[in-house]
Amino acid sequence: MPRPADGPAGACAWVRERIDPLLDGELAASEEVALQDHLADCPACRSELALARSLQGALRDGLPPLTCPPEVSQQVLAIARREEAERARRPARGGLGARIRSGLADWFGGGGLLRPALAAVALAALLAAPFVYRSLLGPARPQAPAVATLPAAPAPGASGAQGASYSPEEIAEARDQARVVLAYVAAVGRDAGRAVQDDVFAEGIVRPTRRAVESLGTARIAEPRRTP
Amino acid sequence: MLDRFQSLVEEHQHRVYTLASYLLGDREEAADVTQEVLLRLWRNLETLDGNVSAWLLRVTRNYCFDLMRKRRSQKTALGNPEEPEAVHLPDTGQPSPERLAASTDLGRHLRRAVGELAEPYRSILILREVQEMKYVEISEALDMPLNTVKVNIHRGRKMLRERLKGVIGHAAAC
Repeated sequence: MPRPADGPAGACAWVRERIDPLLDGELAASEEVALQDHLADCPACRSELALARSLQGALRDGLPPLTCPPEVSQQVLAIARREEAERARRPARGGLGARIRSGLADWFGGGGLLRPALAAVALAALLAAPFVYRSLLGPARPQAPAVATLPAAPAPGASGAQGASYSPEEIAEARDQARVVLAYVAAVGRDAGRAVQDDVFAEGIVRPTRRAVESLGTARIAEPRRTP
Repeated sequence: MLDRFQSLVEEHQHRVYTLASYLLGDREEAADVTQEVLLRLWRNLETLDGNVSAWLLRVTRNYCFDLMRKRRSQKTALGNPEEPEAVHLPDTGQPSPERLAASTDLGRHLRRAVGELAEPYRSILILREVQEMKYVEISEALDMPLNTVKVNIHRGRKMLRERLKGVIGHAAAC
């Protein structure tokens, strides 16, 4: 409150500092009483208040609130709806672990027992593939595994004592069968990969499967040694 | 979440647009800024807590300042880059017949005077005079202490009064 010791000038300074809060309805009730008392006796401060009030009125007339064009909100809401729909279709984002879990949960969560069964078959075929490969091409050799060398065909009447021996036709047939199995595994993997992220199935199942098929496909069968 | 977002858009779009228009002095730019701000609200809605209105106004102001900085940097640098850029406030396009005859020149003077104010006075006066926000709301929106808001309102109005003394006095007398 203005103090008598402040004198008229001090009182006027006190009041003029409070004209803006008064106009804005932000003045404490007790201060408003003191201010109005001063204004009743001070024409100079009344003039200041009138000028401030004119300015405020002019600002409100000259700078009214504006209306946002409707196309702005229409566009924003259209984008939001689209993003919401995309979010509902996509698996949850996150690290690779979160994506794997989310994808696996989605994949196994539907379709009853069929999907888990398919996954088990795919896994079994993948695990069996190396054994199929080795049994076709004989024991593991330390060098040049890409070229499969076969023991010479036994002489007519021989017992074939040195392990299994197969004709080129039998090998070709077994290779085809292995390709079918591994193609099936790859197809199952691709289907699963739609839910589980591609990089998981690609690295864990599809690529190894493909490598196994390719190595079978590129394996050359050496010409059988001709018997003199 | 979409429903909540739609309600917030309906509630706040005009306020955001108004602030952007008066800060930038360009309605098309203000529409672009409004769209960007509302989309940012959508993308942060899940994590946003606290006063949405204050957040929106703060983001709007920051976007506008970024645009104004880009404008300045595109011009040839002469003089003090910290000089406030004079903004020609948009014609409101919403005159009422009663106001038009008396206030056309005054309105033009006002818009020019407010456009020439430095920050934060321009933002504060727009939020106070146009949006009729309370001091505490302005304090939150601008992340400014309450006493500083009061002081800046007083200073901003004082500057305007000085620039418009003859014009307002004449208008008050009419």
